[in-house]
Amino acid sequence: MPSLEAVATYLPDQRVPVEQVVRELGLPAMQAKLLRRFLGLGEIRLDPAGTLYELLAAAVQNLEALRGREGQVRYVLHARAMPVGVPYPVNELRRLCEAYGLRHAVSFSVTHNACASGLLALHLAGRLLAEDAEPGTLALVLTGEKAFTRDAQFVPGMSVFGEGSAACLVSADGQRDRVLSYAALTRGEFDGRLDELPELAARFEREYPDLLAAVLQEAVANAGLTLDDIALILPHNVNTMSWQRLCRKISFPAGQVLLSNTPLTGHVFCADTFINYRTATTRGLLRPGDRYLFAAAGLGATFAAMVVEH
Amino acid sequence: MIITRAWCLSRDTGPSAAKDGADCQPLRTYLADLVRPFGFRLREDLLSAGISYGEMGVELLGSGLADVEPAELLVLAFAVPDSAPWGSAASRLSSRCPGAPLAFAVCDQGTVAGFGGLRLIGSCLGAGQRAVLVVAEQSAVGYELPAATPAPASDAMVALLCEQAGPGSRARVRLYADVPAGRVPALLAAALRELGEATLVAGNGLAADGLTAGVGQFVSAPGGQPLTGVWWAAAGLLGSGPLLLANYDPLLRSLALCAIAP
Repeated sequence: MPSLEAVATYLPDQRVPVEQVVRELGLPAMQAKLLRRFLGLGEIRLDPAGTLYELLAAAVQNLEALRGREGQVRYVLHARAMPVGVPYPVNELRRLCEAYGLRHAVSFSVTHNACASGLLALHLAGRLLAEDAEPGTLALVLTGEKAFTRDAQFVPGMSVFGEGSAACLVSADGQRDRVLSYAALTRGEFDGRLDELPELAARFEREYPDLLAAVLQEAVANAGLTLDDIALILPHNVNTMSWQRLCRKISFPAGQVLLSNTPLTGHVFCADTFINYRTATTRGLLRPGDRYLFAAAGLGATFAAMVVEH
Repeated sequence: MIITRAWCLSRDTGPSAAKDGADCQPLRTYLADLVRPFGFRLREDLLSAGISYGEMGVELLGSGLADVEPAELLVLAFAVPDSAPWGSAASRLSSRCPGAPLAFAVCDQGTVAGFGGLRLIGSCLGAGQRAVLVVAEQSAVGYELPAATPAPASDAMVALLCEQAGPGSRARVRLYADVPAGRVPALLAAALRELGEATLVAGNGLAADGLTAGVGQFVSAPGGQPLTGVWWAAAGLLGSGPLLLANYDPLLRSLALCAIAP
């Protein structure tokens, strides 16, 4: 059973209010009101001069548990929401492996699950380690992306993206934060640029709550649990309103969904859930034995959830 | 893991296939923002030339999958990014694949991404389950590539239908990181010794002088297909005897092997 040995995160210092994002994208001011008043978003973090390499490296540098154990790492995975984030053949992941004593590790990116790619990478890391069955081996899962273009900055009527990163050390059989189940649902009929396809966007908005609810229910059922057994949901930070609506739909207390970062960071691509994990553990919101849910949804569309025991 | 079937699709698009009247502005904006920090120059002549992996993959799946073969997993492996860079082609292919499987893409593995995709399928496939691997490359990249970048000469895709058990060709993948070119012949020779009488199917990355030295007879993948070539060649050889598929990415120093037993 895979487990999270350690999680480290990084957020750039620069805070940018959603009003500035909207202004710089040339969008109507009404969009900023929608983001702040209805969707519960407030500001994002950015490092305009920083590179993807620097963004990911900052999380790796914060991962103290990796020091001295680099030789145990067999796989390094970058989970990417944006299908294309650097021009071919630039490979920042490989460069990072070379700089941090991981050049012996097999590295690759997983994508096309949009913002649910982080949970996919965690799942795949566990499966690879389980198949190898070599005691003590580890995988490193990295998340974090640059908000480098309009498609990576804003989803109409839904969210605004910020920069940040996370590094997760995964083992096949550890005792800390053991993964009990993973469920994911692919709905490819929603693939497309939603700001050019208003009918598809409207349909996605309509079906989104049911699809995400279904995958949450599937994940807890696969773990042999019910939602009543879940102490906390660590969500993707798409916005606060959609999570509050979803909580009403599934009769889950909204106070048990960690939404306090959403107005402060915006949607940090695939890193949200891990940033929220760090907040939860730092604030003592998880006790040993608590079961919690990572949950994420992505354009394209993929819905994913993972039950973990702290 | 068993490979039950493999089939291919190619299209000779490239610069001459630019579509008249295509709205290139969204792609131009995206690629301009993408390449700016890296100093690559846009190729205006190629902006409307590409065919998306989603579009091409739908044709590929339609030509080789039967409704009676629902899959639980679909993996798209690529090196050259899609000409529709904002799209999730793997998701789109899932919606056209019997079983509407969980789908994702694997990349940033250079020209050995197909091997990486197959390894992930092997790790994830459960008893009685079926998966589709789609290995894809396209020739139209909307910006200038640095010299020595492995670049496809045409658009090509190969699909592999995989099952956890049953009749077909048994496949086992090995991925090696940080392999200097000088070590490749010895690793190939050792893998061939392990297999006994196997035919080496050499990907484009092994075409450089000396990389196949001392391995005896081998089949070379068709040129100009740095990612798909080795799978293209293998598709025609499945069932003919033991095979060792191999490819090497000189930029990433990655070697990948796939032993296939009939």
